Amino acid sequence: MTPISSIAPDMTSMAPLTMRNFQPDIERSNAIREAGVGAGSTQVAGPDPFGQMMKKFVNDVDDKLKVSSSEKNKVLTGEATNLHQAMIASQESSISFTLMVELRNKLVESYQELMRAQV
Amino acid sequence: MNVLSATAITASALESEKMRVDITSQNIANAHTTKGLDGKPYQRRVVAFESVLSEQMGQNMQGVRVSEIKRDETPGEILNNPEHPHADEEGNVKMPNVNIAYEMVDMVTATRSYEANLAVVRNARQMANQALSIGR
Repeated sequence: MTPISSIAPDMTSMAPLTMRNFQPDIERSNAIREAGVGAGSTQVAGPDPFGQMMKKFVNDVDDKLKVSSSEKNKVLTGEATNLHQAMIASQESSISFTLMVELRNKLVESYQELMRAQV
Repeated sequence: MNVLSATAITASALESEKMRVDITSQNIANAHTTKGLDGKPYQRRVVAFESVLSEQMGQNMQGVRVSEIKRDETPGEILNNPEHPHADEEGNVKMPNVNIAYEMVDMVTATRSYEANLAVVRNARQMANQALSIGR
């Protein structure tokens, strides 16, 4: 098996870029976690942060799809002439959709892995 | 969530280059217009761009927009053509200051810049797709 440390140098070289982009996300998820700890129970009460995050993510993807189709409609009805905007929006929505499917596959895979566990 | 990060900037550049092609097409279309809206021969328009800070991307990311569309004030050619409806008493016609060769060069540069920006979009998409295929 490949030791994880072998890819660690690459990760640190990427750090400045990723940190800038994900800082708000990290802070948000930290805040959510702290709120959960503050509630004083090991079991997270109410809506769980991960489920919430996934829900938000799915909503984001859905929004992108909506933006893409509305841009396309605008071009087709002659309301706007910026073809590139519509194409970029459709690419963006398709990539975020692929990302969502990829995440779902990963989740289902881990669930199946758990179900196969010996009892 | 922003999967194609730099595309807002590229989109602004595409918009501006498209405007440049539009203006060139207007110049070529009016290359023989001897009477514009103001009654004078058509004067070719020149597009100038300016940087604009992108709201989502922060201080270091600059997009581009059309800052102004100016008239080129250089006088046009004067032809002697007494039969022309817009000729003056001496039979002279003031022609627009449009030079088709210049306009074609402008159009080629604008088209190539548009192409370059499209290449940026294509590469950004490729990068995202390659990153997505890490787990596969």
